[in-house]
Amino acid sequence: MNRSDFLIELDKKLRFHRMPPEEIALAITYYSEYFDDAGPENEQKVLSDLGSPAEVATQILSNYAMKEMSDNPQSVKKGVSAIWYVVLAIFAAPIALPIAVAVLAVIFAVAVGLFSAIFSVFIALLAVAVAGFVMTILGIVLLFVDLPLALLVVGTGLALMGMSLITFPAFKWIAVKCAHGVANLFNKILKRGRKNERVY
Amino acid sequence: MVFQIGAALLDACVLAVLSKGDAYGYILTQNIKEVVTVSDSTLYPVLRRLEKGDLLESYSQPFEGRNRKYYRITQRGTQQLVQYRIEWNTYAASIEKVLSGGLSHE
Repeated sequence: MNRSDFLIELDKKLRFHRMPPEEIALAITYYSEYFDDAGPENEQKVLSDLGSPAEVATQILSNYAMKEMSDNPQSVKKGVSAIWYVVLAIFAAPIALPIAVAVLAVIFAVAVGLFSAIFSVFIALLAVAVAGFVMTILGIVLLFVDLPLALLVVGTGLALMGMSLITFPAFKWIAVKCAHGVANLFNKILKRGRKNERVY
Repeated sequence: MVFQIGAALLDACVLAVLSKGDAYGYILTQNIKEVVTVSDSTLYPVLRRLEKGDLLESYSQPFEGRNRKYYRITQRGTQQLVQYRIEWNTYAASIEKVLSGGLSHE
C-alpha cells in the first residue's frame, strides 16, 4: 500500500459511512498534508504508524459521532444517526463488513427458524387439545344415543386433552432454553464487538 | 507506559503544545508522541474536536508550492488550558499523596 492507496481507501470508508462531504474533505486534506510533511522518504513509516485506513476511519467516525451527540443531545434524529455511525464504525475496523453482515444474517435466520419451529409445535399441541375437547363434548351428547360409542369418543377426547396438557410443560421448557440460547449468542457477539473499542 | 492517557488529558497536552506556538499536524503529532504513547491517527480527531469547540483555529500558509494547515490556540483555548492546569495540579497532588504512601487507612 502506498500513500494514494491509503487516501483513496480512507475516502471510500468515510463516504461509505455517510460522513458529510465537507468533513471528509478536511480529513483527506489533513492526511495528505501529513504525508507531505513527513516527506516521501518516510512514506512507509507513516503508513505503518497510522495503521490501516479502516482504523483511521474508525477513529475519525467515532469522534465525529460523539461530538455530534454531545452538541445535539435533544435532537433524536441526530442522536440516532450518530449511534448508527458508531455501529458502522465498530463494524468497519475489526471484522470486514461483509463477514459481519453474513454472521448477523445467519444468526437471524437461525432465530427465525427456531421461532417458527416452536410456534408450529405450539399450534399442533393446541389443535390436539381442541380436538380432544370437541370429542369429549360430542361424546357427552352421544351418551343418550349410543352408550358404547359415546364412551369410546369421550375416552379418546379426554386422552387427547391429557396428552396435550402433559406435553405442554416439556415443550415450554425446550422453548425457553432455545430463546435463552439465542439471546446469549447475541450477547456474546456484542461483547466481542465491544472488546475492540480503543482507549487512547 | 502502563498509564493510559485519557481524552481530556490529551486535549490539555495539545493545547499546552500550541500555547508555545502554532504548529501543523505532522509536527504536532511528533511533539505529542515524544511525551505520551499515542497512535499517529489519534491526533486528527482531537484537533478537529478542539477546532469545532473554538478552542483552536486553523489557517493555511503556502509552503513549497502547497498549503500547510497550521493550528493556533484561541482565547477560549487559553482559558481552558488554565482550567486544565488547575485540575491537573489537584489530580497529580492527590495521586502523589496515595502513591508515595502519605495516606493511611486509620
